[in-house]
Amino acid sequence: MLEGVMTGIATALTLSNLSWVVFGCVAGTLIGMIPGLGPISAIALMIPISYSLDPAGGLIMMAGVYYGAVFGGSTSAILINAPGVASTVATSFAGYPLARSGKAGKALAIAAYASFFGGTFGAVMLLFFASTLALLALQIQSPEYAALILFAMTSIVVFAQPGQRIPSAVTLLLGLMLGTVGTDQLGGVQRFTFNQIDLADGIHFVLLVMSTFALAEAFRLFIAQSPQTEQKVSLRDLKLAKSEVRKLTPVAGRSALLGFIVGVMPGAGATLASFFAYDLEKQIGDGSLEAGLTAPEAANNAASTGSFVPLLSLGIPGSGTSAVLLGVMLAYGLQPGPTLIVEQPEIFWGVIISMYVGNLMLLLLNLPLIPYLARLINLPSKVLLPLVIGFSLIGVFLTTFSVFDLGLMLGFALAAGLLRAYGFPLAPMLLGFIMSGLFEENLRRALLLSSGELSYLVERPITLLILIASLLICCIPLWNRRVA
Amino acid sequence: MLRILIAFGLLCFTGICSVALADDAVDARLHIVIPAGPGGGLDATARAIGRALVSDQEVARVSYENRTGGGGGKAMAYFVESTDSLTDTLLVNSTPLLIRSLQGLFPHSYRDLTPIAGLIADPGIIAVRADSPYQSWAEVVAAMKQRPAKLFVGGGSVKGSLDHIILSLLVDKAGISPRSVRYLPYDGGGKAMLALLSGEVDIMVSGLGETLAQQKAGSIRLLGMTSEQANLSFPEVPTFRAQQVDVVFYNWRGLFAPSSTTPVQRAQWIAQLSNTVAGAQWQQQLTRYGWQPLYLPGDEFSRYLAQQEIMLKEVLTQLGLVR
Repeated sequence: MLEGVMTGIATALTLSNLSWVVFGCVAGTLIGMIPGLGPISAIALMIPISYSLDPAGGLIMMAGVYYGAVFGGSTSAILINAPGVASTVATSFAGYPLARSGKAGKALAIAAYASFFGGTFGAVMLLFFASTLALLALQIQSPEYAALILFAMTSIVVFAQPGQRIPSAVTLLLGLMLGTVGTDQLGGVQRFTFNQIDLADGIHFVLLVMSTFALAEAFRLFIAQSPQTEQKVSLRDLKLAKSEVRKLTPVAGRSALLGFIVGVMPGAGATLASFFAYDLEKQIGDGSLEAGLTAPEAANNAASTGSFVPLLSLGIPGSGTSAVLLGVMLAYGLQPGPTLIVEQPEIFWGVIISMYVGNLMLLLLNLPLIPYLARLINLPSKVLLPLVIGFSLIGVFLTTFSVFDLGLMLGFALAAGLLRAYGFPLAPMLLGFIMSGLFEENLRRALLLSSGELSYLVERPITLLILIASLLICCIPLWNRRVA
Repeated sequence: MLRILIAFGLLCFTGICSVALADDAVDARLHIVIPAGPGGGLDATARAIGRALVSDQEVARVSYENRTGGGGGKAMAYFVESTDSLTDTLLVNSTPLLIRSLQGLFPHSYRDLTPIAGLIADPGIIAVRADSPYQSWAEVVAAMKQRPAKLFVGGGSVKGSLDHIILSLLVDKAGISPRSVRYLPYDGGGKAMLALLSGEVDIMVSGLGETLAQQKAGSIRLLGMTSEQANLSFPEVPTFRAQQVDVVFYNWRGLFAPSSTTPVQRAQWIAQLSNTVAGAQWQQQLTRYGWQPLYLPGDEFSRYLAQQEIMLKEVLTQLGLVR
């Protein structure tokens, strides 16, 4: 293995490969900052360039693009409350308030450090445990998935602020319902589409998140006309105080571990991971915004790396992004899977090492950029708000090319604004929406496999355990009340 | 401040250009519309033939456009509705085009397009885990007859689509009603493979292309494939014909032009493709991806489509999905 690592380092650290990773990081960050264009679009856009490179160089550049796009997505989530991909939704929960409260530069810096920590942690785990962890991916079947998602949904309601629990449950269910629009994933039946081809694939995630987060927030700011305070952003914001480092390192550590393990499971790994980490931190952490931002950022980067486990060790893409990367590898004539490490060790190790290099490069390149990015928040509302609205609409249009969707978006933004005005939190709705399809698909499959018999659960101890855990956390509020 | 604005503006502009813009009519340019997202089989096919055409100097530049939505319906609608304004533009498509228009999932059919050529064909396969007790398709059939309620077959697409149809063709020949077989759909061939490897299902139906990695690694066993002849790379895998099951079925992938294409233009496309398909570059792409060539130029392709449509209609009617 040591020999493999050395081959990997030698492959990744040639001058040309290093410059490709730098190029990839820059391009990825820029593309990822546009709301709606996430890592998948960024990698797809870079495919033509990658063909002109040799396999190692091309894949190393892609690693840079990937991490760049993930970081770029966090930037728009923090600065303008527009998380372009599902895995950065949890980032905006604490990141956006932190940025609005006059610490935009610091928020971006924390996100960069936490991403770096999570990504590096993930790469090291991948290095040592790729083949062992593949076995974990095989343990998780439909019933476990369904139970795990149920757990995620239960915890977001239970861990909501007291008094926000019922509204959270309401919007969560609303999200689940919105997720049923479109083609039924098991039977192929069209549901709630009103014979509109624009609805046949359901409501696009980017559309919902842009309308309920970015647009609704822009409208609110427009109506509220809150007085703005000029934020001074300088390179000094990038330095965290010793006490903060001491406080945030354990947060990043446990979030990254949690994130990596969740990320190994194929499916919505990074999204689930970021929500879990955020909820966990809210429960056991000190509740500061800084910790609330560190947790999902560390977790989703570790999980993104974790999603390479099934790709590299089984040849099965665990996420949308790794599916696109699989396409890139196939175009090079590489077949990721159990045979890759034997047949082409320099590629296998090169990819893993390049993830590490990509992470490091990203940190070095983006830190100096942060003061400039953070000044975006100082734009006067009359300039910033039209920009946010314009970019949200463009982001959605670039994803779906449908004018119908733009109308739908404005409708959702209006509804979301009303919900918020009456004190309904919108984050549970997004979680419900993201998980809806995955939950239904796995639940229905589990019910088919078990023929609806409860005794099936006994044969599946992991499922049973997760279900019991879901029940137990429902008791936490009662317990807290008694203690108080 | 201004710099940031300009950067954002430029980005957006390049984004739009590279994602969406179709080429204007310029000599020897080609624009390929892909009715699926990046990373899948259709996307790979389009980019592979595009690259081969460029390196054989049949065209100067190729651009690609992933137009997803409505299970390929949006790309079809776009291609049919703007038929008069599309120049130098081809659509890549595959068997689900026929299936979805038969089911009425979108209003158009392949008759609203001009078939140019079939390029590759992927036979269907039945796979079990390497440690499975089933050694042949006949044993699976026997088990299905014995305990139909307990035996699940996983596949990578919804009920009534490609994988389910392959399974239905096979069990029908064995005298089992396709509607009594428990087919369990997954979101893509990868997830179905994971379900097979993890033991959630015992049998899987898929395309040969999606199972190559696991077949090479020896973690699964292919019980048969729906091609006419055995595959040269896997001589040990029997065809279903060799097992006295008369099913030959391919998932073809091919190119279409808009319906407004003139016979002269069509002949030119076919000539260019014929040259390229015979060339070394295309052969190299075929081996890279492990694809089976099935080159059907022009009218041969149209006839093939008509035949396949009849066969598909029969199966779908049996499944109760088309009336």
